[in-house]
Amino acid sequence: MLAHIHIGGVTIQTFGVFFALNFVAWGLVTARRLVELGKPPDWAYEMVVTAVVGGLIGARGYYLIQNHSSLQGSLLGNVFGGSGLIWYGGLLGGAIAVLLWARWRDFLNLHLVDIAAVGLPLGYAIGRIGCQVAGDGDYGKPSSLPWAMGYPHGTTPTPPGVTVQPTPIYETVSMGFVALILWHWRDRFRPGVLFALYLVLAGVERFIVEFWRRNSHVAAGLTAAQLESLGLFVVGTIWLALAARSGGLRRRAVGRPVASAAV
Amino acid sequence: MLIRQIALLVGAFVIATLLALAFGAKNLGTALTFGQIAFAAALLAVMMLARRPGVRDPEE
Repeated sequence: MLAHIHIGGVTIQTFGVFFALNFVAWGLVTARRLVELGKPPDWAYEMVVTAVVGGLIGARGYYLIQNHSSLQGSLLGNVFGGSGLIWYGGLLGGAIAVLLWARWRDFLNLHLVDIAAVGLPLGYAIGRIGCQVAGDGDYGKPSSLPWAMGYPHGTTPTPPGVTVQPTPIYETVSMGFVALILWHWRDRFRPGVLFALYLVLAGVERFIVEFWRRNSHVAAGLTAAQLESLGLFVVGTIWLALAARSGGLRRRAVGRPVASAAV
Repeated sequence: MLIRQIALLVGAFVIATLLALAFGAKNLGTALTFGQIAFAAALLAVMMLARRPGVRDPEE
């Protein structure tokens, strides 16, 4: 795999390229949805910048909290130096930042979370390409499957001759389909239901893929990500049950938020 | 429409993987990485270009 590329004397991290592309994709899809909802498409770029800043702070902060016992050196050096970003920390930090932005824009409603319901799996699918190409350690356990592979030149290299499960590929495909299906259903359900479905599907996906990943168990034979996934699944399921009891999940035909018939 | 879109994504993944193998990818995992990239590109294209479900094309 290829952790860095050199262009004109400049070294570019391949993970960073896909990390940036994930936000570009999110911005494009969000802009389209905002137009459909009759909102300014420029808001998409405000949201994305806000999510990037909040997400980076959250992902790095969560990593520092989880690994505080093994950190060495000054606090500032640990905050700004080296690698170490955790997805669920990024999700939390990005969500808080976007909620604050939405409050400022008076757009703090369930349409906002439904936009995130599509953007999150889309961004995740693209971001995982960065993990795969960079070999950043998000790969799986040793395996002899025909498609198992080594990452000897990754940022977290596998030992020579060892092949592992390329789990970032599994995650791109599974969450890509989640993004596509939720996007297809964006006008089918009442506001908020799409996000609840995202919570359920993202929880199931990560829970399953963790069985092939190399993260260590923290409780009841499960990894930290699996426990967090269970949390997402439970919250999503409760949300769906409450929505179903209070008027059903499907949007009524007259309630469709159409601002432009087709974009 | 959704089934066709899913088929398109699967097709992009398979074709890119096979092309990578044909052009000498080191192993199947590396070839699948090209399939992964093609899958994501096709996904974004479908999401941006496909008609909004339930909205008829005025020219139909």
